[in-house]
Amino acid sequence: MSKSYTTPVYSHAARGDFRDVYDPAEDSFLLIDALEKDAERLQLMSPCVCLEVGSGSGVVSAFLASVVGPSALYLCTDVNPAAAQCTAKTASCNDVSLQPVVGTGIEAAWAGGERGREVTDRFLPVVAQLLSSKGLFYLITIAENDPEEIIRLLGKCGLKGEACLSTRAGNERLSVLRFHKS
Amino acid sequence: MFRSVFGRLLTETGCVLRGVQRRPIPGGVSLRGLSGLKDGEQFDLSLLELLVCPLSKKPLRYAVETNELINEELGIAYPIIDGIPNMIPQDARLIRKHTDPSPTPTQA
Repeated sequence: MSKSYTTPVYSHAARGDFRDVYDPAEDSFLLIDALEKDAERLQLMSPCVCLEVGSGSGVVSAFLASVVGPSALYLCTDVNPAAAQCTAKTASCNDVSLQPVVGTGIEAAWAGGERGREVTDRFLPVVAQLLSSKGLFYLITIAENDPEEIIRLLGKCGLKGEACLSTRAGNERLSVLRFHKS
Repeated sequence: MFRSVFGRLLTETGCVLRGVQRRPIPGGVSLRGLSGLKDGEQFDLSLLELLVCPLSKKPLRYAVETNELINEELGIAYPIIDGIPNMIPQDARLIRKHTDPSPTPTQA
């Protein structure tokens, strides 16, 4: 029977000083579920650096840190400075070590900017160069992001991808895509 | 911004990743004992291998005295607040004097 991991504490998000920080929602939890499903694989991989682009409250990285442990550096980037502060608090609340880094303007903070692909479209081309031969790239998408096109696009960069977990939340169809070097 | 973070990684992928040593930092312990830093706000020097200036894509120097990441060439300093580097160019401090008075960058 596989080990089950607890969801990180995040009650401080989306309130008070962190009211502008993305409150963990179905997409956050689906991503956490996908990482939990791959827990053994991630532990065996023993990564040096884990990077989260658009970390928000930091709940996803906090979860990953609880699975993989303190041997890795957890970089959490976000364009929202409040998110960076919230991530720091999430780290201390969950007894993990995360390194937030603040990025560019707040306008692009929610849902990856225009069409929901602004940040992703800048980041996707470099993913293949960033990933080690054993590395994994997880991307949470909604149907409107056109996940099939993303898989095709990254396929041309030498990354093999698939939807490893999907669900429906309200009107949105969410999918977690997972890529590795082919 | 993300190119700034990964600029070094792009040129030195394998070496940089293997070179990053993780030292778990228990809450409140300052590894270098610097008086300017409060508990829980220490800056991890291994980040210098990963972060570059978002404008020039070149490595930065950590200034202990002001707790900033310096781009000497461009004369700008990125603040580190509560151990969190702020890589937004508009929030950076200009080191050299300019003839036009510029507004003071706001601090978070």
